[in-house]
Amino acid sequence: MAKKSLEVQRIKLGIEKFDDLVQGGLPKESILGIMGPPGVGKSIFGLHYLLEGARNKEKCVFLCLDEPESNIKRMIQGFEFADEFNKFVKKGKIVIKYFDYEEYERIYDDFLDKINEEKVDRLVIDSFNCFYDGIIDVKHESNARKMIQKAFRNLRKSNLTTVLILEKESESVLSYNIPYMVDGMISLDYLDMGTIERRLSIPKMRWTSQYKDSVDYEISKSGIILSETEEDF
Amino acid sequence: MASPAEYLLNKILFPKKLLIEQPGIIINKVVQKYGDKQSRFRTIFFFEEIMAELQIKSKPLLKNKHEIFWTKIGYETTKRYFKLGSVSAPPSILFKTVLNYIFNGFKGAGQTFCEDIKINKSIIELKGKNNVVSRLSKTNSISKGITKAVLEALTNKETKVSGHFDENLEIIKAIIQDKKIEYDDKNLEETNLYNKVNFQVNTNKFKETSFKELMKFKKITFDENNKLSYKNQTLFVGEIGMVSLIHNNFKEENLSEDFNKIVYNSTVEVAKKILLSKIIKNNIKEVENIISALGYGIATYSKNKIKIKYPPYSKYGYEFLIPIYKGFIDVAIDKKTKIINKKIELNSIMLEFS
Repeated sequence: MAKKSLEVQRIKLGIEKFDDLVQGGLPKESILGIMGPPGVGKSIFGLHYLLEGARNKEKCVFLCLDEPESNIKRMIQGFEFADEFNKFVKKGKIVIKYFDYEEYERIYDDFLDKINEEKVDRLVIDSFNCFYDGIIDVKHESNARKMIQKAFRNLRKSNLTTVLILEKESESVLSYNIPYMVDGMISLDYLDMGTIERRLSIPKMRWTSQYKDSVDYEISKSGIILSETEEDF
Repeated sequence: MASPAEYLLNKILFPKKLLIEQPGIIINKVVQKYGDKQSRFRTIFFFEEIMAELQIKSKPLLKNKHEIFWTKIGYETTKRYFKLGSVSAPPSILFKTVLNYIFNGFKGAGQTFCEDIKINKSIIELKGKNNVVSRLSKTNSISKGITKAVLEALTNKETKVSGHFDENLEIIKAIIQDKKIEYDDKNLEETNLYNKVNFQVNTNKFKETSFKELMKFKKITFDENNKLSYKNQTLFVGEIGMVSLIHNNFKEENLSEDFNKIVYNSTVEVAKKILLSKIIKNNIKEVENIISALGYGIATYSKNKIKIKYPPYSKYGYEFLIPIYKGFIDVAIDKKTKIINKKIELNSIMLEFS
């Protein structure tokens, strides 16, 4: 019995070939970060994650803090899975909540404090940077730290698996120890040598023997497509 | 397996080496483990083929001075490096350990002429295959000069070197003599500007590619001979003084124009193998990123002008870099240009092409 309880339950991200990189899926009830510079497709990873949850009859919530509703809708419409995604939104299987960047404190009252009652299975916060970006004084910095820690405590109390979208350009990501606090990190990057090349790596994934090398990926009408890995894993 | 004494020496005596790289700038930092002594070297990655061509094509120009010329290059480059690093002779009891440490460091930079070291009192024999540059030029003068400089730094005694090639195998024999070093190395000292211009800069805000990113994206890899390469073009690493000293020595022989021609032509050959896109815009982007990643500064090409911020500075100036920049640009834009305007300042270069 003790042995069984140590087995890590996993859930699929929803991108073909990705789950093979993390022993079959993301650790359930964990908090994961997807970090990278602008334009690498972080939000698209979030969409795949939510869509996969909805397909599995899980309750999924998308907290949008950076982009207005019109931009998010336009982003979803760009993909072949848009119709399916929008059907789940209509049925309430995927709930999208929009918050203004400056009103992030409302997230606690409006959502995070009640998260257990909501019985959410999958959550994406895009982006988590709003909790601390733009902090300019010590008093507010101390408040930001408290809010981040409170957010993590609330997210861990519930049974959900959370994906935090993190902007790489922000120096604050490191100063608030976010990479240390999350259970896993998917790092996205691009190289512009005339043509854009994108690669993902998984520098951290607790309770998992993850693929150690980096993997090419593309963004297409189907969403994120991973290339073959260089070795059997 | 290292003995306990060697292990301790490694932990205490030998400094920590760090390669600090940011867009356009690569710094080799050597830090004493205990104490606050540190040295910094502005470093570039150079294409093996260009250096080999310099050796090969300079043979008919230098004639019977060729061997001495290139031995002097190896010697002065190494002496300069040790001078910048304030390296001094260790106690004689540590000679073998320190010698092995130094030559092991060279192997990491592609210098494998010293793979096998035999020490017999004052006679040192080195053997190695696939040494970068000399494996193409079939001239081991640089390796001989390096060996002489290393041994003189560790013993403070004049050293005589000889050597030859046997197929791909380089063989060097050095005899440490019982007399003081004849060479006055004061002329190899750098000015204060070396530190000021090279190290008081932070280019992380620039979007250009760094060396680490090219490695991360597997554009720079180790080949089957354990040499670093970019698109199958072998690279080797060296302090900027290495190449600028070569140019300076060519200048002293009134061979500046020949230097420029050889470097330009061989850069063009390398660039043709690297810049494979049919789209000029893509090739230009790649050139800008290669220049940045290999430590040659931050380059921007636009409207027939290339501007380079923070090029690698040494007291010998920037002239030797110009045929390299031009060679890459000419291939990128698929046009043999002429430089019609040139502006060289302390930490920037501007070249305008016809």
